[in-house]
Amino acid sequence: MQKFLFLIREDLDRLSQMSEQELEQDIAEMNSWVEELIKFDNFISGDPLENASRIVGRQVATDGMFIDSKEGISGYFIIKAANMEQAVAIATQCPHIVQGKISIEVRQIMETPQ
Amino acid sequence: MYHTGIVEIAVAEDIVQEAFALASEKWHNGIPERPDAWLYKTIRNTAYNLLKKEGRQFDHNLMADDQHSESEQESLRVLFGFIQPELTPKVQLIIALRNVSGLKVQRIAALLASDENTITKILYRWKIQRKSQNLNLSVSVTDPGEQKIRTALKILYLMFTEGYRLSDDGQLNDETLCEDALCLAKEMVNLKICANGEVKSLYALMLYNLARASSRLNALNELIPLAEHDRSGWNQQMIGVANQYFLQSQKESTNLEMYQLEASIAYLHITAQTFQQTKWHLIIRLYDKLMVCNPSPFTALSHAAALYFSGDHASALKILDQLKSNPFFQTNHLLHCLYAKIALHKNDHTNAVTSFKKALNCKLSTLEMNFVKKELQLVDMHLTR
Repeated sequence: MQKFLFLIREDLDRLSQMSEQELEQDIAEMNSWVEELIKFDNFISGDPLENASRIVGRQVATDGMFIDSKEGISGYFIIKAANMEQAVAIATQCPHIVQGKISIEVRQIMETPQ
Repeated sequence: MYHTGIVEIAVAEDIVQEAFALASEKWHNGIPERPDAWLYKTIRNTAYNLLKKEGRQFDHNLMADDQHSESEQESLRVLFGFIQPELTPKVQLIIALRNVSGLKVQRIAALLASDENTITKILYRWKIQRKSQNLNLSVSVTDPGEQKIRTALKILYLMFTEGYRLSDDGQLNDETLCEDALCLAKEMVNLKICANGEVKSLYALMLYNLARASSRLNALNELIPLAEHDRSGWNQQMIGVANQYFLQSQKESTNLEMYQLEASIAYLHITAQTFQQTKWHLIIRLYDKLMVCNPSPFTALSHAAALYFSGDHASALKILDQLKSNPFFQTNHLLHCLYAKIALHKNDHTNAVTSFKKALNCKLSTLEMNFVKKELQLVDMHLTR
């Protein structure tokens, strides 16, 4: 089993304008997905993130993809999977991916030799 | 089907279907003496004709005399043949339940608390994908590769866990599933597939659990906590077999992995004469290791429980607080129950009640619900006294 980081990106403006009810619905959908991850022993940890962000240090050169839009990181998960393909398959089943609300960057966590 | 040399699933399914269609036609005038043998022969002949037509070899070495030699090894071959580590564990479990255990879609949906439509869709998508990638069943059953072995072990454990759960009437959810998982693990042992001792460890672990299955309930069909299990009701014969495999697994492994750690924990529980004599300090050390090699919220919770039973409530609370801060684990009733237990130890009945009530708000089976309600009643009685 290898560990993977899921970085959740979505429209942060939309997120901050959501009504209490929409937010609850969103959380419930995510919870049922995570419950399944826990059941099938893929889940390690994860949290939603607050909207506010500050960037310190030098400006990272990007291709501009996330600069103009309001896309930002809204949460993260750490999961276990057999390989990258399985991790991607797991991410693909996230209900918010299915609904096209978010994107997930899947990164394998480097194993440090003991 | 493997015996005929047909390795494409879609083709195999077509042939079987054809045989049944033929049967429904021919059996009008009376069912043959051995309907299973008739079907087998028909299937074999159809496969033979098909292979001849395509100019392919009919492998007589693979040919079995009759269907009774259809053995565990064939089931294992199907399991390995269908494993694709790039599919999610859930999808792989569904595929195994359908094709290895032969369960109907309806039954799979009921087992996994899903609906038939979802299961059908998953199976359909998988079939299309297999067909497009031209995947077939021809995989070495003795040496399918490390990743397939590891994935198989996980599927078998999931299969076992689904069967082992208690249904509302207090029975095993599906005993055949437990047996299927055990048989397939045993077959891996027979074929000398070792995986650093993990195969034998898993086999022992499943036996350890099954040996204690019935002591989870009392005569009134109520869940009882581990501390009150009737240890004389444990199946000693099964435990004896499990011990053998567990000890052998220790000789096979160079470093401790998940199933061996889990089996070691089960072993310590089982060899304790009474609950009070459980060697909690050893169990805690094993959980420490398990948290490194296979971290999960459930493992953390069991770790906390072991710490609580050993009397180290502070360390238990530290783990529980971490779990509680996880927004996705607050719906776990065991988390709240453990909080309640720790509060009760401090004679803090008010917080115990709050925690038990939180547990009641989680998704619970009928048995679990009754259990928590009973615990809550006991505390309530104490409060009003």
